[in-house]
Amino acid sequence: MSAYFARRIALMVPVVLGVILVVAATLEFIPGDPAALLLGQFATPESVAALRHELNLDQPFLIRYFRYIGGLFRGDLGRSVTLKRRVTAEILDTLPATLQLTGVAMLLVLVVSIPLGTFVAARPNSFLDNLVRLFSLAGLSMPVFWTGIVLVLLFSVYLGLFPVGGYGGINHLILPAVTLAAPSIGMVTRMVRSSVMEVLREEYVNAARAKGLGERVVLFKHALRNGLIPVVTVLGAQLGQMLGGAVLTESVFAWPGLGRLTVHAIFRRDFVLIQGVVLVLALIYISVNLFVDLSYALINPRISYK
Amino acid sequence: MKRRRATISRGARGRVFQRFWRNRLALVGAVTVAVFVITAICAPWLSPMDPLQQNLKVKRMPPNKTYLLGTDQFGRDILSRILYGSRYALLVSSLSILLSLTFGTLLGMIAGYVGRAVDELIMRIMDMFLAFPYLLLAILIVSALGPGIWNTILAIGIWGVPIFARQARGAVIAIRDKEFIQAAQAVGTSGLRIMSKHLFPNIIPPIVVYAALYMGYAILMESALTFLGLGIQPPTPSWAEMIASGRNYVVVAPHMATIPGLAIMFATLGFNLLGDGLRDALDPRRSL
Repeated sequence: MSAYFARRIALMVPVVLGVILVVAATLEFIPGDPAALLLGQFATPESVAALRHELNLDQPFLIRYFRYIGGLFRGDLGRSVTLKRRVTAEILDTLPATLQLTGVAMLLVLVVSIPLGTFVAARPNSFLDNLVRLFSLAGLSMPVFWTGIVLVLLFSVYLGLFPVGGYGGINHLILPAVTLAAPSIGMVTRMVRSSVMEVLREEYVNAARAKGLGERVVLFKHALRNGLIPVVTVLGAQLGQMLGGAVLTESVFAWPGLGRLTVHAIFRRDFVLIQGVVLVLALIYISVNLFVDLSYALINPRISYK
Repeated sequence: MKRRRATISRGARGRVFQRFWRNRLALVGAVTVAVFVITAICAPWLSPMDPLQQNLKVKRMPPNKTYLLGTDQFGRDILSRILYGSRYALLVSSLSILLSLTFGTLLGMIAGYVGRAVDELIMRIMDMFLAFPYLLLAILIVSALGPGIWNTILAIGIWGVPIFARQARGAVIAIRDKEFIQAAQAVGTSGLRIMSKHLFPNIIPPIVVYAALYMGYAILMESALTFLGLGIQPPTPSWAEMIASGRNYVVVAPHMATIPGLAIMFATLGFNLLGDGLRDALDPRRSL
């Protein structure tokens, strides 16, 4: 097991280096001079030259790549031209709000999807099952930003139950969290359903029934616990979905997190800031997936890892 | 009997078709997708008005007899804009999935068939791209290359390459050591020919399922990029752009932002149902 852990962690190194390579390389594909583009049309030649130097654009790509890695270790991802601040400082300020939003959304997914998926798995092809199936697919098919706008319209504008946006207490959190969770609820509910249904066909479930255990105990104790094992890996992928979805959700609800920072960077064409945010979110995603893979190895007794 | 190709036999194909035909939700998906495609092709004949024609006298009108779905902030007919918008949604999603499918399948087949170092190299590069959370790689690419429809197609296309590569690689590895491949190798068939004539026909089914499912994702991704101002640019009628501009009038004219979202949802739902149905029909054990 520890050999598998070591191998899995070692495999992460080239992926992280590759991700940094992709992020650093995108600067190469900007048509024209990135420095001039970042400063806008009223920049003086001197300021453009200074920025070129700051971004290491006067150096060959490989040097720039290694300097970017070096900077990452020092917590330096460059300076945002539009905010006149260091990118890392800006990210550290906004990251907690995004983690709060995605954390609550993930909690919502677990609280809704696991009981719902298990419940319909015991009644395949019933009316309720088809209804849940349709709603899950609808949740998967709605654009996140549109869900947010519709929820604001219904619950803030018409019913006046929640604020239309902004950051504050639990009231401010509910609509954005539901918006962000909706597609993942659809996905995970389907996954729990199919996984539990598969377990229900196993011999030991029959054995549990034959012992005279109640259907509820069989379903939630025997079937769900084993059925959840494959679901764990899906949750890791859903986090990636949510980190991307947070960009849209935060833009709709004016949530002061990394997503809104990204939108600001996109509109002001602040490419250094975009690079920083994307890199940090990718690193979070990679770490969480590593954690998910390792815990999968721990909780799944059926597979031995070499 | 001489058989040059190994594909699904006719009987198996009939069973697949039967299973698909009996699945009501899958049929709903197929019909929705058909409506979407026909709308995209016939938009000029179906649209009651010019989607770009402004008329400030009738701006932000709620749905009524003349303007069935109302008008936007420039007095443009929303129904016509939605009908025309299907063209751009279909164009972006199908071209980007074609891009991912072509390069992904090719790379995945090479990785799966050649194996060893080549496999490691290709798949590690694919892992690199898969390590980006959804949407963020596309944001990075389009904000570097500049906004617009072609860069959006490119970005979504690149995002999908590793997904198809993984699928194709897995499918090739599953049949790589079967006897009909060994027979082809024994008579000296070249690697290229084995891949194109013997392996490729056998991995078409899973690839088709993925293509249908990821068409839905591509539509959502295009709408997300367009909503962020990176994708299709105004005044081109696009569903997400209509939502983005309608958002500013959500209290006074809620129809502007809400109606186009239904179009995105139905198009995506159609592909999801179709993909699900195809998967169930091809592999009934893996039903979700």
